[in-house]
Amino acid sequence: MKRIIPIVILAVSLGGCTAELAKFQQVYTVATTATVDPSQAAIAVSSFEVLEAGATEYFKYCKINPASAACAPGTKAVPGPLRLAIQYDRQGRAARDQIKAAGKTGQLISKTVYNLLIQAINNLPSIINATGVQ
Amino acid sequence: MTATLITTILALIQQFLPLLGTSAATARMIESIIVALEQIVPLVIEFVPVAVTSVQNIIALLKGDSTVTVEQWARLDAIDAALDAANDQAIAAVDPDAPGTIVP
Repeated sequence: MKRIIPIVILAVSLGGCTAELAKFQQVYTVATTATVDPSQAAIAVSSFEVLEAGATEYFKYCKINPASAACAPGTKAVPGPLRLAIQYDRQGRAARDQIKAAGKTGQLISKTVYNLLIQAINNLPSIINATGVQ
Repeated sequence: MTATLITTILALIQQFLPLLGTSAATARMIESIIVALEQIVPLVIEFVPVAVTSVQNIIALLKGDSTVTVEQWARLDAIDAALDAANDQAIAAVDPDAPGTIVP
């Protein structure tokens, strides 16, 4: 049995021109092995890149609707959805870049890097979808 | 209309890619696809963010083609970077912790 079973269900809908937001649903399993095969990590990378586009739209929405509860920044001590989205976006991008770099040289991906990407993938959708933009 | 056009073009490109061979015609086709991507990506970012995944797939497939030149590879990297730049720009516009912002 494979130790890492990523199951991705991406339900993407396109809204109007002003604030399109993608909707995502996914279940990802974190890695328990020390390293992850690049081909397995590539699946997560692809999913994150779809999410990154959705996150970009979320940030654009928050620029237009700063008073929206879905865009509350919170504080550094108690971050709101906006700060969390920025954190997971950056975390996911950093992990994705490392995985892509490793993929070019055929190196295995460390569990730590892979799980950082998985954490971003698993947390970003609920923040993005909370805007309720259809 | 724009969204439909863009997604149709991207779908067409994705259908062409598996047919690429190693001939001179293939080299010309790859060049045409890269030029098309360079022109279409700003529109994708602005109007059809959901199509980003198609662009990423096309980039990945082209990078896997042995006939892609180093110069073309660099241009594909630049297209990839444009997608990240759009994300950076969107974050910078709302980041409460950006320099110069009064942090609560």
